[in-house]
Amino acid sequence: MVDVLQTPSLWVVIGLIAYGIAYFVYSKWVDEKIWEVSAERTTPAHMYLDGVEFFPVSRWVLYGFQFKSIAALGPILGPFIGLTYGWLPALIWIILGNMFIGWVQDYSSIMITVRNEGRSMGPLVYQYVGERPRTILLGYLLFYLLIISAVFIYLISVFWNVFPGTFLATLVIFISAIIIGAMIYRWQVNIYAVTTLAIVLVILAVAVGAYVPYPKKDFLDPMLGPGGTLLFWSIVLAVFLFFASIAPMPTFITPMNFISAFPAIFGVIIIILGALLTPLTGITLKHPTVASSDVLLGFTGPGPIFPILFVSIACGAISGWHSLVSTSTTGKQLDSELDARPVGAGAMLTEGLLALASLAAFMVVAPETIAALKGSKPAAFVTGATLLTSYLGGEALAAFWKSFFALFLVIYAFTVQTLVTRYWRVFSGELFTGGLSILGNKYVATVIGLIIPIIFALSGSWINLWIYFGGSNQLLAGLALFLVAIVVAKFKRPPYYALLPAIFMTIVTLFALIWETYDYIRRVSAYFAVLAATGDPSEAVKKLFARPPMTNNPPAALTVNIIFIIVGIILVVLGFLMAYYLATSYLRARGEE
Amino acid sequence: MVLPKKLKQAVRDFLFGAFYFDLYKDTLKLARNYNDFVYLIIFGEILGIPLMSTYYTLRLIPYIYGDLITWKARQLRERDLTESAPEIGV
Repeated sequence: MVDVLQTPSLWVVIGLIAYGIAYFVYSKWVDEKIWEVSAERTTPAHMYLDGVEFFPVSRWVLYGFQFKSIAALGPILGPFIGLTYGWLPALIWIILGNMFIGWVQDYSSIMITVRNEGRSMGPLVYQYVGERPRTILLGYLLFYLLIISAVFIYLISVFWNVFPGTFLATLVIFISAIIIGAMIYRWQVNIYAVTTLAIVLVILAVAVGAYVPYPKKDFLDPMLGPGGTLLFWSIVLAVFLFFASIAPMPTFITPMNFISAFPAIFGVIIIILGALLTPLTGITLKHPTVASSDVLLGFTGPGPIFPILFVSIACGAISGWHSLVSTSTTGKQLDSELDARPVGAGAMLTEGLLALASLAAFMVVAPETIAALKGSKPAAFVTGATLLTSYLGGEALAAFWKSFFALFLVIYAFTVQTLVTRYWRVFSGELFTGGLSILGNKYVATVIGLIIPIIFALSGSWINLWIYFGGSNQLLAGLALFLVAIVVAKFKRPPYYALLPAIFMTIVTLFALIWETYDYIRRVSAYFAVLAATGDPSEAVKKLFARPPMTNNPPAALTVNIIFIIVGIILVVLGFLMAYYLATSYLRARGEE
Repeated sequence: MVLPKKLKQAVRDFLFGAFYFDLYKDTLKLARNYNDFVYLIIFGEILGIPLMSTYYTLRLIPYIYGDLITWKARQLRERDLTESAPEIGV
């Protein structure tokens, strides 16, 4: 038996208690006093019943669905970057952020949809804020899609490289998805039989990953130079994504989503259990509680703790993506207004628990182990999660669980990425018309939607991309909260429970995006300073955010860094505009009282 | 282990929500998309799309009269919409 204080379990339990208070006290108060929910009021699911988009289902079905939709890679990887500042700040943010901001957004997004005839985000912005903000929102999403693609493409390529066998395991999953899709839609096999087969195939895939560790790490580097293997994997991935996103949904994407839910939810459960069981398994904290003041103030590392911590841990504390899920799907299927709290707040607080468990998975890995991973630090999650789940079979099954967690992350990222690539294509088709219609072509759009993220992924550092991603995601959250405040003010109810978080999130994320842009500007100016001093581009390129093979080509690395500055500036400007429109709409809504 | 009926239902619902609800909804949407497509071709004129289907049906009858019986039989044969999913690309 080890000292409980030295294990992560206590902190997870504290989180559990805090979330309990948020759910049973705070959210109940908001539910009853601000929204004044009533079982008598008809929900859009009944009003517009069409059996496809609008239809009522039980709260437990929706809770399961909402949890599955929101608990993706964010809560698992975000804590890793937050951990740079030591585990205590990350822990406090996950607990307090979710208690006062996270569930507020998810729950309230459902409520604004329910009270507005089931309208989703775009139409709601149009209705309450105006036409231009709606267009800005679309433009904003376009950048969001590119950045999220870059993050996931990089992540999958790194995992395929770092964990030999993961690619083969993923391949087994791909083939399984095609078979499962045919079984469901073409041969119409009983769904329980399909489920059984899906689970067996997933176990088979994990076993392949564990016991057939080929191809080896960096196997192409001798031939292609440093970073060559990573480039190779990202191209292989792009080819898969291309076919996945142009194929009809039922042949690949739908069954892939279906299969990946099994390992995903199973993985989540065993990590949470593992974190709670640490006093018994004797796994102790290896990470510093708070980082050195140099890191906190941003002299080294990703940047100052304010605002970077608040954007690096997005999902788990708060995530703007959830407002899209809540408004476009969940809100349309709510049976009764009374269900909004268990579904919206319940699922979000459960996700907070997942974020705490993933934080625990990183807390038990020593900083030296993480530092040894160099360019592929997110892989630390696998090490930590394998350690936490050592209660399931110990040393004997360590290889199996390692393969499982590597695959867990890869298929999580892959399923999201196929949908993102597909969404990008559909989006381009809508957006580019007239002279630019070639960009909206099915194949052209897909290729563009893959090449830009690959270039992004190969150039910038992982952390910077993640902060851009987190920043745009959190800004979306701030905007959604603003929208909630506007709607609440229109209903003549006190909007402060949403307004204060909205202001906080908007300010924090705009600061974070400005910091990131500044960081790139600093790098580029350092590049030119060194170039002027030494006249050697290969020396100057070290100042930029660039990784091999990009470092071999300084002009390309410079171009991409400048593109990142432009992307940053665009995101900041769009964010400011959006905040301006929302704030004025809010004041107008208050003025009507 | 005997679970109370309500809890059992809740667990069932949660599992359905987490594992099957997405698939279920995607399938519903797929079916609806096909329906919409067919309706559009048949009833598109109601939406103001100048398909002129009624006009052409009248003019075409003399030409297709011989084929009508086999065509009718072929169309009425039971088939599954998803059979042709790969060609259309929903």
